[in-house]
Amino acid sequence: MKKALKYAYIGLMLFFLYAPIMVLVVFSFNESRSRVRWTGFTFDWYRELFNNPRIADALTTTLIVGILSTVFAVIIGTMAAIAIHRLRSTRKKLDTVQEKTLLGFTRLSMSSPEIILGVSLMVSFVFFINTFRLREIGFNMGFQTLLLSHIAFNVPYVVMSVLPRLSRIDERIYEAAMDLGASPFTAFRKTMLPQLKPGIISAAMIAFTLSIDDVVVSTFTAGATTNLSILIFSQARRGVNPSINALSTIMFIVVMFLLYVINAIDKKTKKNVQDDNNEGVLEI
Amino acid sequence: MSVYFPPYCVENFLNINGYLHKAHESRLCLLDRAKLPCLTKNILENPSPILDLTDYSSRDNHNIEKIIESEDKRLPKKLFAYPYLIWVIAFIAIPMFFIVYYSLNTPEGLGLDNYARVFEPLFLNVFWRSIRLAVICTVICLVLGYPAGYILASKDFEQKGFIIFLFLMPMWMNFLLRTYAWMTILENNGVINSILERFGIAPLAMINTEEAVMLGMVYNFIPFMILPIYTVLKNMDTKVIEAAKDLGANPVKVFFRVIFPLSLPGVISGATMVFMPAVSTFVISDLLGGGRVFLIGNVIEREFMTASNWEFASALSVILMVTVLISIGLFSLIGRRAGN
Repeated sequence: MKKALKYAYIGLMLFFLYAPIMVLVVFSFNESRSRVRWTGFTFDWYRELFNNPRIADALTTTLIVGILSTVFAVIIGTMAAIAIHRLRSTRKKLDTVQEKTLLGFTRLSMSSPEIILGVSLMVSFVFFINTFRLREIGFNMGFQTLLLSHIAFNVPYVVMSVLPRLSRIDERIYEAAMDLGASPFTAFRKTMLPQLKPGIISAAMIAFTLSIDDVVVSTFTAGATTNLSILIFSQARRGVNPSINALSTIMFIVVMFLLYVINAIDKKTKKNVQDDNNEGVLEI
Repeated sequence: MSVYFPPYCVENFLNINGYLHKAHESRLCLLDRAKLPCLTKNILENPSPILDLTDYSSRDNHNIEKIIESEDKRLPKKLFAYPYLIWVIAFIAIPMFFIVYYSLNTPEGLGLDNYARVFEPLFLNVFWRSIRLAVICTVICLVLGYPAGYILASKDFEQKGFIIFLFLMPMWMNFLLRTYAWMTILENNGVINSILERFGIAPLAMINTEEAVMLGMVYNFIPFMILPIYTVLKNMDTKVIEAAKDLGANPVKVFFRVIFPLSLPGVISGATMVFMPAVSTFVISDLLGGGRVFLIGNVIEREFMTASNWEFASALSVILMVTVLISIGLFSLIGRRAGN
């Protein structure tokens, strides 16, 4: 009885979470524009979606910004995490101050509401563009500022998911590699990087989804450029539209597929790495 | 099976699981204190992994500093620290500075005029509504989410991994789409009203109300409440609960005196993760409030994007930021109090 109640409660919660999504999916196949009556099965809305050049453009922008911002954020964030980790291990006052500052700003950025990040970046972009006449060299509000701001809000998440890994790394291996004559870069690549890999992978995942998902920061910093979120937002503001339903369904399936792949990869690495206690990951 | 947390959970999980602190502590444990008579407090506070297994007993104070110095040079430190410092200044510090600067900018030079405008009844109303909706949303999430976290963490619950995966999945879906999904349902000629129609009940005006906005918030943010509570309850030492039962406490007492207080870190982390996006949202209130439910986020967005009153919008942003920081501080204070 008690057990049945438990399952019923969880079932209700899941119904609450999934029912809206299911409604969305079902009506993307409805023949009429109506969201109420089922008039017949159709792929028309999907066809309309693929024939719409604006959606194709927006999708391209979203993917390019997603991939580029992930790559840059992972590079900058991993370097930053190493720097913060190294600053921790000294007694010099200046280093401690530096470490605290870096970490403080990283935390500040993570705990700021997205809207604040968005407006603050927009205001400073506009200021610099106007003051230094950056328009003359072709730098304007648009793709560049969108990409920069996506990197900006991604970096702190990378730092925070790589940093805990670093403190569990055995640095003696790195030192041994140096003692055996490896250059710092080779030593890093051969010894530290493999150990950091799970942290970096989950950081990249977080960064990529954050970028794809973002509406708020993009709204403020994209200028005339349109990515998928901006497009959906502006369409949804005007009311319900079956094409958006179709788009949502596709995105839902893609996300499901990605999560499946990630879990598969994760299981594989689990087998190889015994101590995989990654902070981006909850062990169940 | 493992499940990835979406973005802004990471930091909070680091905190509730105490990973950052644990990492430091474990390193402290590795240092065999008996072997390090000359190690200063300072080093203990900033333990370096390099120090761990070295036998320092035969060396004197002076040498240790030299050793630390020389060993430090092995990894490029400054080389990596400076680019990030520049990055942080350019993309976090300067933008924040600009917001503060614009908020103080008035036609007559620097002043607090923009802040004074915030205290006009119109905007005080908006501000109060944002806080009220966010607080109610947090409470609803807690009331609905705690039992869910509790059930998921209980031992006799099967298929746990898969179900938690199901709870996490919507979080990876675009949050705009999840909000949009509710538009279809709540609309005047939407799903609910068409069902009501069939039963001969007059249609309800559901969309473009505060309730609709609140529903959207709860729907979007409730996983953020369930998961930290689940994590804390799952890692709880069951011996404490058994001890309480052995000592004669009834289930209600066990829950309120033992389980709930011990799960507070999870509750607080969940509350922070729900309250913060809820108080600052403009997307949910825009789509489900239809321009009729104005929150502080909507005002900021409108003033920046269409009204171009940047000075006033900046002042609002600063106030929103301060509100969020204060609430984070309050939450962690409550957590620490409870911890003691």
